[in-house]
Amino acid sequence: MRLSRAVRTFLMLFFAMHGYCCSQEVVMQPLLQNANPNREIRAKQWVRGLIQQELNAVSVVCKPDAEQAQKLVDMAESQWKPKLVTLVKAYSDAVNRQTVDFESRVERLMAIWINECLDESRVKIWSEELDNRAIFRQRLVIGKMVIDAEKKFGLTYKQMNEVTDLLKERYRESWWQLYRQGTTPETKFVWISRVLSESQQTLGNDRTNINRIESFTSGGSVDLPSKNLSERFELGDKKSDSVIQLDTRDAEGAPENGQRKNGIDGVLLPLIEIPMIFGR
Amino acid sequence: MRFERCEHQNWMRKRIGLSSRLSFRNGCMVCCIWIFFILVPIAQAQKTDDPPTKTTSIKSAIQRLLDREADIPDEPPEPKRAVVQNRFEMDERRWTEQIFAQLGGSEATFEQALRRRVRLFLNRVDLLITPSEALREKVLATVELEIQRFKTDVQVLVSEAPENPTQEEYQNFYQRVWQLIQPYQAQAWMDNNSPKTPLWKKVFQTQLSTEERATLSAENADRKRFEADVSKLEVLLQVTRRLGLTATQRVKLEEYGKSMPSQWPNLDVAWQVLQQFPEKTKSELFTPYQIEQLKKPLDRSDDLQPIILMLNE
Repeated sequence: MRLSRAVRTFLMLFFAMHGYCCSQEVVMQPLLQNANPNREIRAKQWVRGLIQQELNAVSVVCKPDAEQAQKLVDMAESQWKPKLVTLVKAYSDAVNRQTVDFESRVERLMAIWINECLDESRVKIWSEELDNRAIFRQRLVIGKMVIDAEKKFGLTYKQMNEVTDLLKERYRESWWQLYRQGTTPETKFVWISRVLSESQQTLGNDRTNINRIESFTSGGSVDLPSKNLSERFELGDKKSDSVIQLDTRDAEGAPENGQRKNGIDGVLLPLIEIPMIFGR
Repeated sequence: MRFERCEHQNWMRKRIGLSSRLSFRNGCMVCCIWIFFILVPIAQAQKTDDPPTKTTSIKSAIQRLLDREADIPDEPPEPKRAVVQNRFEMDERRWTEQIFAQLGGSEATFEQALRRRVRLFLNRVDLLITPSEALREKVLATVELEIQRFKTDVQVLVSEAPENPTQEEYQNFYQRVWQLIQPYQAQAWMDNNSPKTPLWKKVFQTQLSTEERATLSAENADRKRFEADVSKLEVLLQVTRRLGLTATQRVKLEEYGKSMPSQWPNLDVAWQVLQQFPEKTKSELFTPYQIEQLKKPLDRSDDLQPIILMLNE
């Protein structure tokens, strides 16, 4: 008898709660699904824009022959989506774009494709191009760090140049990542103490109550290039093979580059509905 | 009335329907569930002549509410109440705290920052012109004077501050606060581009010879140029990212930027400048694809911006 009562109680409780939850399903659904499908489309457009830019650069720098160009553009068209799916997902889930490194991922992937599609001499030329990019980034990041150090330690122009050389020796790729996310890496006192005067060293060691504001950079504030999902990749006069299917499912609803839809496109709307759940 | 046994338990025991005598025992779980999840919703639905369904939409609920509102006869309008303005809870102490918060945290932090700044300046100058000990002491004394003067100014200003001000009063007074702290703010935050030369610096400069002044001036120009060059690199990086410049193109554009330094303060200005390049220059610098990209306006799709816009609306 007791068991029967317990089973009945459980069933009633279950059906009552099930009924209640089902009635909320309409409202809860947008919260449980992907918060903003437009972010995903946006991310795909940026990825495609960056790949197209790289292809343009390859065309100018490496000058691939017709066969190589076709192979590369086809490889990009067929592989970009599976290879960069985690990147697109990361952006969809991220709070803002600065936390997702579109450029490096696309750059690395393009280097792999170029290795597979182009001959050795052209791969070398592309490698030099990438080295030049890295040097340019290094110049910028170190420059920002030296300006920061100048404010912190009171450097002269001569010392600024000396500190630049010291930082070049210590340069790490992670500094660029920090910069890209919008923060200037801090120049540590110990790294540069040997170019400082005695009085500068004394003051540099005194770390009490220093007002150092993070020297925020504009590392991620500029929009990335964008390419529509329905447009094929191009390399010189070659387009990707028409046999390769394009991911055009979302292309119609996607905001064009330079345009913005009204509202939040699914981010804020579910939040507005939350009070209604409790208000019913 | 005795509540020895709950009615549904009687029903279960006897395996018959509800008896004519209703009783309820506190704490009976099954009855609670019956009452809250089955009986009450049914009763409510009957009241509104609308059979309860699991997917009753919010819209229909709002509509019912509006219909009910419509049935209620119009009441005479209430007399207008005086508008109650929100007031900030501010007094002299809080104003003082707020002022020094803008200058690095507290009164002590502000003082230390200013002293530190002067020492940094003197340390740098030591490496260039070797000022006399008397001048150093004079400058350090001046900065102490300046700190005291600022603190007095703060006290005077705060004594005139409105207590528990309205929004308008707050804003008006804050403008006065801003005027007072602005020159010191740059100093407190180690910013070289202070809008006003501090008193200690004026004192220092008046004591220098022409040669010493020229040396320091050249040094300042060099440091500013270094900063401007880095700032140009930053803009160039942004242009590179947006247009996908190759290393060769970047070098060319960097050379161009050197000849026109004032036109590269930020990406917005640089972008407009690039758009206005003569077609011939554009075709020398960029590929046709990049020229097409250059025609588009800059789209700053900061993720937070739409939310901020919407909240403002």
